[in-house]
Amino acid sequence: MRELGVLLSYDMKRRYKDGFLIGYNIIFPILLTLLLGYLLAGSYGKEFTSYHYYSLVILPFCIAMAMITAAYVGKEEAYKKTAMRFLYAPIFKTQIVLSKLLSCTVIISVCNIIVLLFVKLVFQLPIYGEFWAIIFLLTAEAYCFCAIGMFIGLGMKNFIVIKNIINLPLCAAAILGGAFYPIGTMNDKLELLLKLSPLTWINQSMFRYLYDGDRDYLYKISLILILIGTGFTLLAIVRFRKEEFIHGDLPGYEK
Amino acid sequence: MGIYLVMKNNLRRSLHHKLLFGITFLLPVILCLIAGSIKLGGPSFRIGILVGNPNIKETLNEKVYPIIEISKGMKIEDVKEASLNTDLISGKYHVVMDYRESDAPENFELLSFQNESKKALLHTSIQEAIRNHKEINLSGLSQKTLTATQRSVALLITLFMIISTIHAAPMILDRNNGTYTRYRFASIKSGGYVIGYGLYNFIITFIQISASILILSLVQSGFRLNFMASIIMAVAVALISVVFSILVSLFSKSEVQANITASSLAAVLSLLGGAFVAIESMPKLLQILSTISPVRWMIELTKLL
Repeated sequence: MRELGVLLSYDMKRRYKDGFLIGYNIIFPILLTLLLGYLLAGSYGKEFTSYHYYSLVILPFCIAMAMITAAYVGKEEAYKKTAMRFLYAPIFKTQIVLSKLLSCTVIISVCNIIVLLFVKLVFQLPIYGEFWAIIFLLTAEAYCFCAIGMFIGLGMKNFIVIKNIINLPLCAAAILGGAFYPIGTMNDKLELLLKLSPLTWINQSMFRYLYDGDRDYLYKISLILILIGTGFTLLAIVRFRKEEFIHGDLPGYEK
Repeated sequence: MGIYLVMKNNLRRSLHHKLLFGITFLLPVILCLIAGSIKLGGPSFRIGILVGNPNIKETLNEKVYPIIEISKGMKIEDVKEASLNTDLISGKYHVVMDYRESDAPENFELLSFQNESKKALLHTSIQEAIRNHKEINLSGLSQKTLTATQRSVALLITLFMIISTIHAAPMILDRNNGTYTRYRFASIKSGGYVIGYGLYNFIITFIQISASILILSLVQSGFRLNFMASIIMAVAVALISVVFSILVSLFSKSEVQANITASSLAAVLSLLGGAFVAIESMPKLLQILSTISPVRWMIELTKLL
């Protein structure tokens, strides 16, 4: 347990010193909300503004993008050539995976709290009694996507291929989930396609919680995200390969 | 000679990793195939009906549903009260006609999160149509939308700004692991190195775009570009994507930064360029700002072609 604590504090330092990670998870969602909110300000009324809409849908999109960061965090030791020291140290692979996963989840969740506080104050997002419920969902999402990223970074041999294409399905999921523009339909086939995006479920759970008073749906989605995240965490631990951890930066290593 | 060597070596390097090259090369083509195969139909105005008192349902079946069904581009559906606001926010319905406290077809409350003036105009139009048994006139509310070709071109440029960065990102690795320094020792100037990389990227991207345009013209209904226009479009999209990706790679410290920055910038430029919201519907300031977006340039070029 002490080893996990040491590794976690070491990884936390790396994360909060990563200016790009912090900037991407605080400044980018705020800028995107401002831009999109302004873009569609004329289309919405006064009760529910475009800024309210984008305050809620942009955060889950940015959290999903954290999957890429988590995948690279998994490969950090290989890139920095420090992996061998970790393997000689009296620590378990579970501790390596958990320290990386928890540090990513914690830092991203702190960024989410800052952004949500900002949009609550600046755009008057009506989440007075529901702030922590939304944070719970977003933290569950951050955990789930970081776990998937960790599995890609530490548990897969084809990281070099996946790292290049990982952002395309994420952008597609964001479009389908309504992150850039609300995509509604009565067409059954298109509706099925929209529901393939996890961001559709996450965004709808927030809307249902805040505007339809459906509290169960948000907690169900959070629970599903935590379960998926746990599954991928276990996969990352089971599939952890020392060779990949040491040499995963080398192009063509998969051969 | 230096430029040619950089281009040739990078082509050989990418072909060496067959799996990576195959997936990266085929992915946009497959995405275009999927996007082109989905039959979205034309734009529609979706109306929900919320009924509280079951006695009024029969009257609505006679007087309201037929009016909406004959109105051009309109669709109607019964609304689930439990997810009413969510369905309005997520755009499943543009408006909901609320009959929970009404006993006459023309007396309904119009629920919507849209702009108040639009809502009032729509309320009056629907009421008039029900009273006069005529189709609903939405001429004052219709928005300009992109054609299938313009939308596809906007998708292509956005997609290839991201894909092209994948091909350009190894520049960062070269810089970090000393390959770039070795090039410099071989008396290749940094400009030549960047141009060589750009040419390699252009060749791959151009072939990918040409294949994507071919696929789109085969599977997507409404996508119309003649041969010459397709070539011009492929060259323009490839050129812009390559310049964009090289710039992103030059200013990024790591591959992860380059990939995330490219995706984020591509999304922002796509929004500014009018891929989702028509330029005419944007606020004045954003209309001016949208001129910096290559997505807008490509949409304008499509109009010209």
